[in-house]
Amino acid sequence: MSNTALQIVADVTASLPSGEMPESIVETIESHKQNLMTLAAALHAAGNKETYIKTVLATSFASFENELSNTLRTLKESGEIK
Amino acid sequence: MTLGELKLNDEEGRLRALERLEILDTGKERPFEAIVTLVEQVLSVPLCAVSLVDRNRQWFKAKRGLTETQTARDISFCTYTIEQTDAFIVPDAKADPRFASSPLVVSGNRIASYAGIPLKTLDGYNIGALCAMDTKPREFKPHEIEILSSFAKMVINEIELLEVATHDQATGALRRQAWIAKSEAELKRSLREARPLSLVILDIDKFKSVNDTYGHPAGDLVISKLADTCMENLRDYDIFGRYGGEEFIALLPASNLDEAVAVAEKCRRAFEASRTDVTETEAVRCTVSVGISLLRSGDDLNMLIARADEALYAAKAAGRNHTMTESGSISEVEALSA
Repeated sequence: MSNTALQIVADVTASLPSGEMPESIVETIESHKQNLMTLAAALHAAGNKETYIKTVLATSFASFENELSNTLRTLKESGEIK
Repeated sequence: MTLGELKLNDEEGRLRALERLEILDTGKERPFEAIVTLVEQVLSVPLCAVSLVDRNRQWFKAKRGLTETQTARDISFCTYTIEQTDAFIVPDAKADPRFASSPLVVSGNRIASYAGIPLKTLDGYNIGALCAMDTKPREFKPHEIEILSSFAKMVINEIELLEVATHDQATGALRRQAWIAKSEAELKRSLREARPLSLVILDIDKFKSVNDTYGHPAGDLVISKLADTCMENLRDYDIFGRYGGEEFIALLPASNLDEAVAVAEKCRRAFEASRTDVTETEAVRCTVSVGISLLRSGDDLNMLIARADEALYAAKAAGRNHTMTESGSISEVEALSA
């Protein structure tokens, strides 16, 4: 499952923004990716199909990504990042 | 005893960590709603919540199936969860003497089984729990606990993002927009309840000379010193933010002008007495000027800020290192010492 989980997480997080980010944000993104990996593995262990796992991970990531975009916008507006 | 165990026993530190997040009694937010929806669906539970454990209550940031927005802490399951380093599970609440007679079990939502994961912040405090509950006894399986744990860590990720978005990372004060949002809500509440409300603006005196003499990093240290000084001297319920470069702003609920002057003077005097180490061998002493306004009927936040700003200008004109109210009166302490 670990390869599958890796692929699923890579797929659902493909839209992550790149560019200059504060260290705290980078750490949070890495932590979130790791949590998605753990979640994918646990959902797989529970006998769920890959399509269902993808849906759950995509939903989990979407709200995080939305909040991340808002946070990065705030940091840009305050001049903390370019 | 490990550091983690020490923090489990540090209730005051835990409450301060929760307070710093300024998340209690805030509105619904999409990320937390999304997570409880997923917990409800993936674990097939009728009840779940992001519960934040305050001194005497648990308050739900997001919930599904629960009718209450908060409950007394002493009847809650989550107060046990935050004492753990990992999951707290109650398969059959009626068979557990700690919960058998709890109103949460015998009436209301009739919680029959519970699984909670502590919400542990980066600084190591369990501020609450992500919990899944059923209305019938249930053995939560290891993979279900693993799933719940992953979602709990995602709650923390969301809280971290929220914290960066709402708090100035250099000083810990609220960012301007977050301060405005909280303050507007408090102003409306004060007008509705006819309670006094004051606003304080603080601006570091001759700040440009600190930057010019010692450089911008030294200036940043002085700004942080003022923020720390204010946060030490303001009250728990005051709303403190960074309004501009070297300018801070605080909304003081339930405070008339005299009370606001007393609080502002504590900040001004403490900052005047402090020193900021700007190099290994040099320290600077700075002062701050303060302007204060008092809420009037019909005010909006901009009007309150504008009058405090005028008072600040008058404090600068009076020679700096003064606290001035909107009525033009120099603070009593200052008048006595002049």
